[in-house]
Amino acid sequence: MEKTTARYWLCQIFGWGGWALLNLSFFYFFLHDVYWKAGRRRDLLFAILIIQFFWYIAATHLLRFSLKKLGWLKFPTNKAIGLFVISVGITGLLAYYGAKTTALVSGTSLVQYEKKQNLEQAITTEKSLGLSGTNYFLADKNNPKDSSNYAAITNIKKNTGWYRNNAGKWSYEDQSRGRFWWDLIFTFILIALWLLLYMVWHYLERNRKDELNRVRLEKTVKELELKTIKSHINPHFIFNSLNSIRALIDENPKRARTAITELSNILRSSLQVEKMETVPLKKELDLVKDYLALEQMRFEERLKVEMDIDEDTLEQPVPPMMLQTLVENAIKHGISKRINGGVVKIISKFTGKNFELIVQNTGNLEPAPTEGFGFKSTRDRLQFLFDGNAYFKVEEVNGSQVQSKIVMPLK
Amino acid sequence: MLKVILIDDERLARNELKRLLQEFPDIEVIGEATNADEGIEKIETLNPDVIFLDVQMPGKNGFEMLTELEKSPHVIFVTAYDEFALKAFDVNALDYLMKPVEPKRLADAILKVKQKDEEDLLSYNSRGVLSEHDQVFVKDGERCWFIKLSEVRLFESVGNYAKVFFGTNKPLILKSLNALEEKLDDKVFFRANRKHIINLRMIEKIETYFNGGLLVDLIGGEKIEVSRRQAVKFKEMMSL
Repeated sequence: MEKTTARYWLCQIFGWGGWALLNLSFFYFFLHDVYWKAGRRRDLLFAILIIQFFWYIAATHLLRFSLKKLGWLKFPTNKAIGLFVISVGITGLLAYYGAKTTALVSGTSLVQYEKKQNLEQAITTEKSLGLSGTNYFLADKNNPKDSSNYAAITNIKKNTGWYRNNAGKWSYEDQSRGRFWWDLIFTFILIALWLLLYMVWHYLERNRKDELNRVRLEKTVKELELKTIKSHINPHFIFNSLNSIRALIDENPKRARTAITELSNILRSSLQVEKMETVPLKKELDLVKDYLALEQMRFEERLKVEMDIDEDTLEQPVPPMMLQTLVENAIKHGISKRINGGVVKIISKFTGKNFELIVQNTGNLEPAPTEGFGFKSTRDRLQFLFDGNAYFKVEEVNGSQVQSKIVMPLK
Repeated sequence: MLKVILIDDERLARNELKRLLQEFPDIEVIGEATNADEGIEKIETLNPDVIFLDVQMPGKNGFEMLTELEKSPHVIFVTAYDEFALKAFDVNALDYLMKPVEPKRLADAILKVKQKDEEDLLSYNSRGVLSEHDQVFVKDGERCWFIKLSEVRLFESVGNYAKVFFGTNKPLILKSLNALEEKLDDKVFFRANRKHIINLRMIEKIETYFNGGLLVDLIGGEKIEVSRRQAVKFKEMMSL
């Protein structure tokens, strides 16, 4: 909060200060003779710029305060536009009249000063025309046909705004009404720009924050999903294996015993999977071998296994149960669907800067309407661990084989 | 004596079930099959009373096999764990067992089979003709039934399909009325007109109709016209 307040004040001071300086340089370069040389005028110029500086800051600060209180950021577009127009109007008027009044009261009003100057000029002109003391101002009453006096009145009035009324008193009529409107509109424009910048900045900031929150939320959800995915044991496999083991107890008790050990290894890995981000390939392969042994118990001659493992790859870190998931898919979608079964081949090798894990199985790739649970989990885990630098692809090769390939960068 | 066939692609699973069934003296395992096609062959040649059927098999699954059978024996489904299969079983009130099979549950399932109508189990074994005691497996979308033919009151042709009217259901099967007419026992199922086969036992009322035809009211409320030509046959059949 403090950071944003500090930033706001810096913007205000430098923004409005910069504007004042801009004004100053404008007067210096373009109206030098009018404002700079004439000493008094220069002081008044400084004064009005300073007064405006404070009033602009005050008015916009009040505006900001009110907007915040209203909770403007939540407004729908239509309401926001309406609010914009009204705010600019009120703040503009406040800034304009605030500055003007302060100037008047403190005697630093340029307008007042000029008015006084004009009066002096009017009096001087009157004198120079030899009209002082006369009642030339009653021209149209006395001598309607005498145009020279009438012309004099109009002249003085036009140049200075001052003229003698019928009672002989000096009256003032501002000759540049337009100036008033222009000043006011200009103020509105300034305030409008300020408010525009303010609103745009806040909208962008809110979008940025929303995006950040969304990303954070996604990450949390993904992490939770990952946890569930990892502990997702395939019940179909478990119960089928148990059934087969039970059958083996009479037929081949020795095999039944080893099968129970293999199954318990797999269950243990499934449960421990949450604790480690990666395991060495050797450990994963041991698990996969146990898994394949159990599946061979079920499929018997319908499942043939081939392994082509580069010994140097055994130390490579891999996400736990990822290779197992691929092999499980190979059997589920490939081998178990074929009446005569098929072959599952596992390949592990280095290619250039990458480490590749490949699982091939006899079978055809069936286009699935949505990606299966296993594939999605593999993709997510690779994304999570390698941040987009690993990739995973499933495709048909050699006509009657399906290949799943994972490519991971070497650290 | 109940005659049983085991259909499962895993040898060990079949062995395990065989071992369990040895405890039942009035159960005889007359055959085994390792996939759907083998299953159909064995069922049609050996005519078992009951089959134990694994749903997940390579090639065709258990449900697909059943729809290809002319008539279906009593089926006890067997599954390791398959959410979709379990849902199908529960939704359609089918008998099933989960692997590894619990002896007690197996006993309950067999008892249920024995409690079925004695007549149903002594179904005619003559190939080709379906009696009213036979049941057929019908699957229509998510729903499936084992329909005893005696419960079907009407077959109506809809394009290449036939609508099977039983209870409050009307599922579709991919069979033409002509094919059905050949298979069904003509003493029970009568071809009333080009589009309809009616179950004679389900008639409530008969009236005369235009052109020498008849109008038949069935128990379910359906009114079926009997064409003039068929009406002659009908009267012959029904006469003393």
